[in-house]
Amino acid sequence: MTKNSKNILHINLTQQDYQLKTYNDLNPFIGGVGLSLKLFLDNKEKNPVIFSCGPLSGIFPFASKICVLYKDKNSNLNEAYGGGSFAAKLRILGIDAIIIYGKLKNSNFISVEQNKVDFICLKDKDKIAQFGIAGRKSTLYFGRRVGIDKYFSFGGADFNIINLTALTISGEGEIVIPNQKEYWEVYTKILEKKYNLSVQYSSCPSCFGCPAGCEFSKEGEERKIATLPKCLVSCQFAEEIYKDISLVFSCLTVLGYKYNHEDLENISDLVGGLRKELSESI
Amino acid sequence: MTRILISPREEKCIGCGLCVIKASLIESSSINLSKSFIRLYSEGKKNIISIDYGRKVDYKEIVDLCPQNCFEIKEV
Repeated sequence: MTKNSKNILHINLTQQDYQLKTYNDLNPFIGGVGLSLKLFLDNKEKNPVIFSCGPLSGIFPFASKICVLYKDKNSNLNEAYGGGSFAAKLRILGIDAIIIYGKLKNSNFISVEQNKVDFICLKDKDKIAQFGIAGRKSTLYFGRRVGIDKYFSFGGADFNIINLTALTISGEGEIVIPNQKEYWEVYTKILEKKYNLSVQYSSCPSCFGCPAGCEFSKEGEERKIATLPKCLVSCQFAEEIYKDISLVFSCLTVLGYKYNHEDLENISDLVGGLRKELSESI
Repeated sequence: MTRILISPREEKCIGCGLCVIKASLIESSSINLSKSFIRLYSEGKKNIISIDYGRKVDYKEIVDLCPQNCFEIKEV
């Protein structure tokens, strides 16, 4: 994976087929809701469900949420955010987003590992735990509500994928840190900003990379926050930290991304344009 | 005397994975869960910390980083 491209996993449920595609023109959308809206626009005829992480997912604190974009049963385009470790594991696997479309027929469980996607028919839901790499996996459970890692959720988000019971990913991969000293300085600076969080530290199960363990980690995110944190898929309570363009620029730069300040300043307009275009076309 | 990292307060672990990331960086200058000398097995509210004692593990920065004070360094 290069820092100037996005890796998108396309999963066609009807054909039980998949393709990992690399796009060189998606970087301006950063990730999260920006990337998802662009992918939805380009694939709207497939009516996909799109999961996306951000460039900082699993790498910097308080940036561990996973974004899902979907059309609800009333054909309204919705986005929802969930916690846990799914975003971090996806990022470590080297995937920026997963586009899922079609209908499963002969299987009900999907396992994503490095370089392969398995479509599996499971009669016993308890056997889901047998798949994926222990200590490196994260699982979405589909049902009345969509759960993550048996604790976290997307809140009341009413999306579902027909006949899919669960999707497990195994975070097997490597994110090379070009300059570890600089990276750790920025990392520590963010950790020290705990007083900028709009939530108290507690001892509840925490999202991966978040030391807060807040009492709201279990729920999905519903608060409207600024566009940049949504594209980074940061926690809603860390909005103050991740709407600081200078800080975000430092995070991206130490990882080797080629964004400039203008890209980050203009993301709100870019995403706004995508929303408008989508609302006119679906 | 040998110094090792232990997790005597594992029950306090919230699964944030900061220790896993730091252990990976120490070992490989990258974030790679398979190279980290700390593994975290999480399910629901339960977290199990597994330390690979086949390598040097007595890093005080991991003790200091844990928000729940799960770790300490012990002389054995």
